[in-house]
Amino acid sequence: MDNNKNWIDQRFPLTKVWNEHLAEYYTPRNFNFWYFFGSLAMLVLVMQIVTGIFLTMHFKPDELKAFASVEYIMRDVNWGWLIRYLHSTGASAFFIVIYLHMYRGLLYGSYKSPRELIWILGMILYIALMAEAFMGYVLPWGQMSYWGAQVIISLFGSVPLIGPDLLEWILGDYAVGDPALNRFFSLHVIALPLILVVLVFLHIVALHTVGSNNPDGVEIKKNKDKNGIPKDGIPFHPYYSVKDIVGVVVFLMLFSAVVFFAPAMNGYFLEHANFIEANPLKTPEHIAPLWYLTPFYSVLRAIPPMFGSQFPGVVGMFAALLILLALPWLDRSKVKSIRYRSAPYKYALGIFVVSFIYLGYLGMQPVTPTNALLARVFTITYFGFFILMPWFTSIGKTKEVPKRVTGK
Amino acid sequence: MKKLLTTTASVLAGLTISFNLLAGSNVQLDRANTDIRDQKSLQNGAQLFMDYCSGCHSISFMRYNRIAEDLFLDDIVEAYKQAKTNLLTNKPLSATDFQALSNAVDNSVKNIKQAKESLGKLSDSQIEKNLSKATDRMVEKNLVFNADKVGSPIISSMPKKGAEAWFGTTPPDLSLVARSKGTDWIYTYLRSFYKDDSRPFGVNNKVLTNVSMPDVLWHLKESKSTKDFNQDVRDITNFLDYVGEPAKLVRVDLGYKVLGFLFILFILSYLLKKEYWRDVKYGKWKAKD
Repeated sequence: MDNNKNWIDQRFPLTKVWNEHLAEYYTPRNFNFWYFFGSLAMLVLVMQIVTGIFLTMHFKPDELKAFASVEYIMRDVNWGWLIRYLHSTGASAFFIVIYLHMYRGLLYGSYKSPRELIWILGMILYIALMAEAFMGYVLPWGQMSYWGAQVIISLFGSVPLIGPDLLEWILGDYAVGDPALNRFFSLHVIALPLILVVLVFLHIVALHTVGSNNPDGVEIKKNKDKNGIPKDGIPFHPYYSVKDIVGVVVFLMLFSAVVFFAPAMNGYFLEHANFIEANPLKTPEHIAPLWYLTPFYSVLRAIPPMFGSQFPGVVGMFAALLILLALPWLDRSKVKSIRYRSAPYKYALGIFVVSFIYLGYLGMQPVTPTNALLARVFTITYFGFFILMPWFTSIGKTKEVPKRVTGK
Repeated sequence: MKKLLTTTASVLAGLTISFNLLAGSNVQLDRANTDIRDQKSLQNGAQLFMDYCSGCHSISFMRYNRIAEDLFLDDIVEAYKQAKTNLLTNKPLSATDFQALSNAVDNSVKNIKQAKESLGKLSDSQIEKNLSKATDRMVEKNLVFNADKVGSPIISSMPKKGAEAWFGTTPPDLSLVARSKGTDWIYTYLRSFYKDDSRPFGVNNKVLTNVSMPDVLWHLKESKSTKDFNQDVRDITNFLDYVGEPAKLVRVDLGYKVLGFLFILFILSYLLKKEYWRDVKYGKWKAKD
C-alpha cells in the first residue's frame, strides 16, 4: 500500500493535494447551517452531469422529435422517468441551493477582502448557470420552452443598430426553430457544463488560497499556534466531510420528496403549459420563465420602453445581475458578519431580500397595473440596496468583533 | 439570526397565500378526486376511453400493450393463482379456471390431467411470459378497434382532413392533457355540456366555451344516475391521469422506500458526525486557550 502511494507520489502530488485541500486544510470550527450549501451545490452539479449524460443518450434535438423524445424517455426508457425527474428537479434545486449559498455570503460578508475573487468567480458561475438552465428548459420543446425562448432571445434584437443581425446570428434563423434548438442543445450539453466545471475548480482554488470565512467574520489565520495551525481551525477532513454527509442526506430527503411525490411542483418546477408541444402559431395567454429567472424578468418588465425601444429594460435586467459583481467594493463596512453589523445594514438587507423574492413572484404573474407598480418599486429598492450601500455601510454603530470565533 | 429566519418565513408564507389565490381560474372546477391506485376505475376508464373517445382522439404516447401490462395483467395473474390453488387442492375447476390455466400454458386446457402435465413442464418465468401474452391478446381483442398491433401507439383512425371538414379542427392528442390541464379540469369539462342551439352540434360547454366537440357522453348521461355518470367520468379522468404519466403507478411507492432508506442513512450519518466531533468538543481539536 505504502509502496503504491510512494510510486504515485513520485509522479503525481496525490498526498500533497489530499493534505492541502482536505486532511490539513484548516476550516473555522464554527460553521453553521448556512455553510452546507457549497458542498450541496457541488453534489447537484455532479448529479446534473450524470443524469444529463443518460438523458442525452435518448433525447433528439430536432424540432419535430424533441417533444416526443422526452415523452419516450418518460415512458419507454427503463427508469427514464426517474432520470428525467432527477434532472428537472435538480435544476430547481441547484438554484435553491445557490441562492442560499449567495445569501450566506451576504449575511457574513464573505465577499469582502480578501475574498473578492471568490465572489466574482461565483457570480460568473451563477450567470453561466442561468444560461445553462435557460437553454436546458428550451430542449423539451413545449409551449413554454418555445415561447420563453422567443421572449428572452428577442431581447437581443432590441440592441441598437446591430439588434436584428445579432438576433439572426444567435438563432440561425428569423425565429426560434430547429437551428436554435440544435445550438442550444450543443451549448447545454457541452460548452456551458465545461465552463461550469472549470469555474467551480477556480472558485475552490481561490477559496483554498485565502481560507473560508465564518459566521463571526474573524480571520482564523491571524491566530496560529506554534505549529502554524490556526487555533480556531479544524481539518476539513474528517470533521467537515462527515458533517457535510449529514447535510447531503437531509438535502436528499427533501429532494426525493419532490422527485417522487410532486415532480412538477404544481407547475413551478415543470410548467403545465410545457406539456403541450411547441406551436409557433399559438401564443400562450401568459408566458413566464421558470421561477429562478423571474426576479430579473420582473426588472425587465418593470422598466418602460424609451424612445420606442425595449433596450432600457434589457440593460436594466443585465445591470441587476452585473451589479452583484461590484458588491465587494460597494460595501464600506469595517465588519463582515451580520452579527456585528450596524442597524442600517440589517434593515437594508431585509428590504433587499423582500424585494428580490417579490420581484421573483411578480415575474410569474401576468402584468396588471398594481403588479407593474409593485415591480417598479421593488426594482428601485433592489438597485437602491447596491447604489446606497457605500453610504449605509459607513453609518451606524457596529458591534465590536471578537478576536476569536465564538462558540455558536 | 432567529429574527431573520422568522421574517423570511413570514414573507414566504405570505407569498404562498397569494400564489394560491391567483392560481384559480375563472370557472370553478369540481374536484375530480381520482385515485390512480384504483385499478378497477382505471380499467373502466380505459374501456370508456376506447369506446367514446379514441374514435377521434389519439393518445399517441401510449401503447396498447403498456395498458395491458399496467392495468390488466394483475387480474390475469390473480385468476391464474386462484386456478392453480384450486387445481392443487383438487377443488372442482370452473370455466374461468380453465381459461386462466390455458393462459398460463399458452394453449387450451381441457381437463385436470392435461393442466397438471402442461404446468409441470413450464418454468415460472415461462408462465409469466405466457400470462403477459394472454393479457396482450385480451387487450387486442377488447380495446383495439382498428388494424393496429398491440405494441402500437394508440392513434385514432379519423383522417386529419376529414376531421377539419367535420369539426373545423383536428381533435387534440390527449396523451398529456391531464398534465397540461389537470384532472379537475377534465372532470369538470366532460360534465359541463349544455344545450345551445346556436352551436353546430346543439351543445356548448361551460369550461371551454364554443368548443368544437359534441357531447359524446350524452348517451351515458341519459342512461345512468348522476352518481354513476360522475363515477364514469371520474374513471375516464383517472385513466387520462395515468396516460399522462404511467410512471405515477410506481413513483409514489418507490418514494416511500427511498425516504425510508435515507432516514436510516440520516441516523447513521448523524451518529458518525457526532462521534467525530467529540474530538472538536472535548478532544484533540478542542478550542485552545
